[in-house]
Amino acid sequence: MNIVVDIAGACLLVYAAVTIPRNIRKGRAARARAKAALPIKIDAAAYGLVPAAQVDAGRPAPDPQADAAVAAARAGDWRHPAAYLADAGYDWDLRWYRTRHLADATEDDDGWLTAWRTESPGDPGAALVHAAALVSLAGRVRGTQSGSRTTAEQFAGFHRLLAEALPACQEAAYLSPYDPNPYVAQISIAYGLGWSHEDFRQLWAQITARDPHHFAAHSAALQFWCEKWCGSRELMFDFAEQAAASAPRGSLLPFIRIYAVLEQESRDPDYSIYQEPYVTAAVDATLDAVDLAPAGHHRLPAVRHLLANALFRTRRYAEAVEQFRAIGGYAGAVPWTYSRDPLKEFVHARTNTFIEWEKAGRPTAPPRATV
Amino acid sequence: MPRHDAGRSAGPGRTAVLPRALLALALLAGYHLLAPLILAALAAADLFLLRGSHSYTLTSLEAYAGSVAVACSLIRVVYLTRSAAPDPDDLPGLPLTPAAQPELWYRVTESARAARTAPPAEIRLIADVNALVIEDVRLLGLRQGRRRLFVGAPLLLGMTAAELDAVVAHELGHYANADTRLAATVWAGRAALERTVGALEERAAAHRARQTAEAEAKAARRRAQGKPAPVTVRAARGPDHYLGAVYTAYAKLGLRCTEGVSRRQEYAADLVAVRIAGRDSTAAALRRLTALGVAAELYASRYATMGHDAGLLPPRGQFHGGLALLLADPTRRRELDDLARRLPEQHRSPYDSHPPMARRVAVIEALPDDGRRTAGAGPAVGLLREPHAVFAALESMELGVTSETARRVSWHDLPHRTLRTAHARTAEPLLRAMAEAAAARGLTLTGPPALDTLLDLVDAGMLPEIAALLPMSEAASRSTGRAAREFARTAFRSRLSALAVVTLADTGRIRWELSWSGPPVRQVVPDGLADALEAALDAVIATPPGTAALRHLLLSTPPLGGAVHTTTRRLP
Repeated sequence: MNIVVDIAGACLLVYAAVTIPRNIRKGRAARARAKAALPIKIDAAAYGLVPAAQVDAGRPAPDPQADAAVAAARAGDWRHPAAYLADAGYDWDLRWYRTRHLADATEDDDGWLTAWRTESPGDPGAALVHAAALVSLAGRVRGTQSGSRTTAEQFAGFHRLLAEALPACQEAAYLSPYDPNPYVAQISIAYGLGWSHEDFRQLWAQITARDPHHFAAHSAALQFWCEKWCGSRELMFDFAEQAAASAPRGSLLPFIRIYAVLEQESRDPDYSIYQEPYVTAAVDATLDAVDLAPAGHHRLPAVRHLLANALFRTRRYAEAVEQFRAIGGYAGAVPWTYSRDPLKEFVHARTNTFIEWEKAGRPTAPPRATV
Repeated sequence: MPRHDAGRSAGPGRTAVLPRALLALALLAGYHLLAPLILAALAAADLFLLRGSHSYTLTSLEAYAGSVAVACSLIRVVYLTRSAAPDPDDLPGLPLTPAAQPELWYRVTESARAARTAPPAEIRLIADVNALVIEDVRLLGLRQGRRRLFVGAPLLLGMTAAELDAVVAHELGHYANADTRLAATVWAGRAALERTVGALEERAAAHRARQTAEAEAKAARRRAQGKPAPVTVRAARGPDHYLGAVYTAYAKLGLRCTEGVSRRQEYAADLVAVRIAGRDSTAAALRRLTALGVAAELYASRYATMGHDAGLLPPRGQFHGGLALLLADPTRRRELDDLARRLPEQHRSPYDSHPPMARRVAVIEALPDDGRRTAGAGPAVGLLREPHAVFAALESMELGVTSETARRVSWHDLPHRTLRTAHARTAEPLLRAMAEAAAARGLTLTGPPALDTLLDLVDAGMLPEIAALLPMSEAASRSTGRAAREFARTAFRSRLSALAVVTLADTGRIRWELSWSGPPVRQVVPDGLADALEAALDAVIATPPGTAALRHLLLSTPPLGGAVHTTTRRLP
């Protein structure tokens, strides 16, 4: 009997001798894997950056003027927003930029807008904000998921609101015949309801006749021509090429080619598109446009976000560092908003940019010849 | 002898009966030998380990334990789970006794006599598009057990008596052919194998489920204690899984080896059918089978069960029997005849025991004309005495208690009642929300809750309150502000639409009619009503709301009658 007990004891010892070191090794490997999966961090303050926790993922850049107008609107005052919008004058794209801010101020309550429209009947600004608000409301009802993940109820509301938005746009156009923005608002209706290419070209002619280089119109039209909505890869790149080629000196429009690249990347997300020489040329042209644009241009932050991402993806870290520094602590812009967690996407790109830049010995950006 | 020539023209040679018989026997024997072989191999391995110098090492102890586990599971599955002898009360189908159905029995007995085989001891009516003869297995399938013929009700309804003869003769023919004497043996072996594989897979799945549940419980315990999740999460596989793999491999081998035999048996059984029912009737029966399958599926899913959700059934005896009405529709008949002409050419699976239908029909049609024509024979259902009572009994057996609890409505009323109920169910929450909103305001509603009252409340500006009380989708409950209000408007509109449709149906302005051809339900509405209704609904949910158009529509739409132009366009 003793021999059996001895054997059992020996077996237990051998078993322990084999399994304990093995489990220790396994545990160590699992911990290492878990650590590798954790996000890498950099000391943001050391590079003069806003720490990740303080980055504002709700907007592309600060805009106190817009904030004041929106706050006034939410408090029920329509005169301040009306003056803010009218102040844009004949800078049509700026007028559209402000219109969108005011349209966002109607998300929860549009009482101030109703007051504006009743107390100042025939006001083209109020009509424009009303139309733009209906279009963006339609977008919120639809949600941002692909068609197959959108419910019939969401589509019903989306289509109904777009159908209501069209006469609102037409009324705004009637009240302000030289303003392209009532037509710009219709671009979203066009791709939301799947207009024919012919109908869209007619709409586009109305816009370009009033402002041939409207920044937001080109962004929205790119959406119409992309594969996701009503066009194709070829149509989208043709459109971007044409828009960039016809852009006057000092315009930010050359950015449209990077936007097209981003749109394509979101369809086949392996980043291989950034290896193409086309992208290098597009990024160079956008860098030039950014250098030439007046400081404080309302579209500059939006372009910088796209540019920073493209520079990061094309491994031009020294130039990307400059753009990230100029952007500061804001992440509420395309391309980050294409992701479900824009903040994470932004911080990921920024962190890796600075790590690679550090590894390369903090080079300075190469001088730009054209400027 | 035409039969002999026919056998040759059918492709399969009639030589080499012995090798095939031996193969069948070998496979059956192999199945019964597989378990003892595995057990012997395990024992041998254990003995080998025991005689080695280190008989009590950790590995060998594990091996002993493992072999015992495998042996236990094997013995349990192969020897201790016998398929219980079928309980007569548990068999599918409705028994048709010779006393109640002498004509059918006479016909089947004649066929069996002509096929030179024993007639079935039982005939049972089933609901599927199928006919089959099954014998209880006795003595490893070497002795004949009780023989049962199962006949699908759709065959009785959709085939002529001669075609039914062909189908029955085919099934009996499997037992009649001398060269397929071993068919029962092959089938018995196959059934035993299937049973074993099934039991092993079931046990393996249960084992996996148990392991997963344990792992989850463990992880939950660790989470509760604040420890990180355990490293190993993959459930280990038990002995049943590996035994199952062995038996599945053997089953595949068996099917591969016997598929030639099985397919030849089908051709041979077809020849028996030709001899008894005639060439043309047999070919027609085979062609009909595919089309009948499609028709019966369509009938069951779109007609017989149409009123299921509304708790409605067609008249007693029509749940299965109504297929005859579908088959009698000329348009539908033409579609099905087209279908019968185009038969599937390909094998569905390498393990399919039947040759492709097109090939079988081609072989039969290539036979010399036997002068027997298909025309003139009455439908097979004519063989049944009191078919109505038979189908009613089949129905109560198949549907169980539903057959008693569901309301019986005529075919004419079934679609109307069904769709009215469906729309009323959609509208129901709206009426409830209306009552709640009115109660919250302290209003007393007089009369039954109806569209008129709702429109009055909408006119009083209560639409947002009522809409807010409607059930919300997930997307709607996530939204806020104006978007939430738009979701509520969408919900209000779709339920209001259903309520308007119910109201229009109740006042005889629209009607749903049954159609045996095309889509099962046609909606009959006055011309232009669909567009007018859309516009009126839009007006109700507009700001400010306009109810006049809808009220007008409900009053002014003419009731359906001779003078009203109607369309079958669907309402929203």
